[in-house]
Amino acid sequence: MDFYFGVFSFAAIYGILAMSYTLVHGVGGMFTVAHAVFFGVGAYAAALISQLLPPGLMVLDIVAAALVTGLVGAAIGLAALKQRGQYMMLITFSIQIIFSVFLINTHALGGEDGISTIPPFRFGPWVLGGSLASMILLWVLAGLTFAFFSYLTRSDFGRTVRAIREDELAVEAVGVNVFRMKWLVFSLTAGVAGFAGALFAHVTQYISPNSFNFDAAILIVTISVLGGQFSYIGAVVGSLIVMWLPILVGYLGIPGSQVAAIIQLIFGCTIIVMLYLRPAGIIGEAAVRYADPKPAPDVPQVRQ
Amino acid sequence: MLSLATFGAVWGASIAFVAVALGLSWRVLGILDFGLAAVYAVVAYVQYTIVRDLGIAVWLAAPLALIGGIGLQLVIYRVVYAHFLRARQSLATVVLLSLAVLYVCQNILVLCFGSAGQVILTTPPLRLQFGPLSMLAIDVATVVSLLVVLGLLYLLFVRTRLGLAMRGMAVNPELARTLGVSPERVRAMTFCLTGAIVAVPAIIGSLYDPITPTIGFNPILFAFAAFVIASVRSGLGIPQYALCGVALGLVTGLSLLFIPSQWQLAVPFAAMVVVTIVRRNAGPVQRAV
Repeated sequence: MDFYFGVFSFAAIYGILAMSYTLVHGVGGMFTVAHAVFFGVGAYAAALISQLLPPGLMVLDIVAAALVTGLVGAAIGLAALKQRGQYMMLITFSIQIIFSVFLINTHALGGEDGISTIPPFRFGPWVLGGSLASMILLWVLAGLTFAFFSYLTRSDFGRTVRAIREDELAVEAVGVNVFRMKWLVFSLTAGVAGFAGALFAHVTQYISPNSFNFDAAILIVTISVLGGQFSYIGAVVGSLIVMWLPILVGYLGIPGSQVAAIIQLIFGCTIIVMLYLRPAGIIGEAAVRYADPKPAPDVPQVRQ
Repeated sequence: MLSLATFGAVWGASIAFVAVALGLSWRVLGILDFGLAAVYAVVAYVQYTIVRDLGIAVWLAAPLALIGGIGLQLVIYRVVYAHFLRARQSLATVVLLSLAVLYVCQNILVLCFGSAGQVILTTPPLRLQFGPLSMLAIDVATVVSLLVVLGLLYLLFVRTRLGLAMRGMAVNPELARTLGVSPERVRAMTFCLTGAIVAVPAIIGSLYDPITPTIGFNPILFAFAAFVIASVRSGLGIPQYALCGVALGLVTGLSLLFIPSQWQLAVPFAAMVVVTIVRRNAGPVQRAV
């Protein structure tokens, strides 16, 4: 049973990660492919900081990892957000590649072998691992992330961010500091991705560069495309599907050596099919209604 | 140092092929075609199958593999891209598609051939001596092929109607359409052309080196960096892409004098970040898909 709790735990962690991607990409319109970098920075930061803290204070390392990642995101954002559209994608793509090379070749971070001495995260009586209690805790954290992002998206801040996505120049023309808004969103989502990475490090108790490479970046995109690029619920649904997929493939009796290839093949086909049939993802249209429950009074409603 | 420079120049020539194909896709079609890495790998495996499994000679297998590359690109265009290019999707969507194509092809290869390296020719490669410089014949073939392909592309774009139509689509797609250029035909032919260009280094590079399903990944990454650094603003920019590819290969080769080989991949991307930041909004110009 612990195994299934473990799968749901990973779904919660990747759900948090995918929700942060939804905010930066779906809501903010910033096409970044460096989200696995922030996930990785958070995981490595938590792994390193946790070695310095006594077991009772481990909640601090997760908070610290999120802050460190937020700062890294802020630094990257300073460079990347000066560029528009494709240029931002180019920079984040480069950073993803450089980060992978850096992790593999830095012996202080365990090199290709990674770090295997990460203690399980303790939260009062609970130990994050495969248990029911830790799974519930992780889903509570995912729920809080969902509530926070939903609130943020509906707030004035969120409306401005969405307006920037639609027409950056127009928003700039009414006096909004577009760069600062985008930078805040980018840094915030980096921090949340780092938070997810820290949880990941403590749940698996082992991290290696393979978990944060270009494949990981594609995994995040797959979750987002599958569930819905503009929806936080979609991010969670996509995460659940993607985490359960390997289990279902395993049930088919496929040889272990081929499971990874088949899963990646399914991910690739999923992206193509979803973009073709349902670009807004499984939860797409429902999410748009959810995000805007009340249209502004002076905007006439258009019957679709 | 001479051997590193030679290695860099030959590697650069391989990058140049892919960078030219990537640049053509961008300038004519408006897409960043990471799927070219899949074409690279598939061509290598087609050649492997023809030579090792069917026992056909390399000189005959090479053109068949080239046709395989062209055919694959045409199939990818018809099955995946045609709908999205007609609908003028965003850059993000098309980039996602190309990455998905890469994943699909790569993993089909893993399922068919496994992920272990396969070797086409087990005989030692022929070595040529030019004074103090010693080079493999296969490396000379890579450089000569690049020059030949660049010459053929020049003839295509200067002397043929198809080339003119491609240039028209690259410079002003709307005007080209108005003047009677068929976007469907130009897109299909561009996919075929990029498939053929990428097939050349794949055929040559896979003869002696072990091939794996991810064999196209490094060339596409380096080519992508060269493509961005080239920052072509007008025309098709083929010479610029080729030159940047060769230069990047040279810099990467010579960088081995100062940094360990494991960090090699970081060199072009660090250069790319610096170029993009320093020359604000450098890189390829945004265009409608």
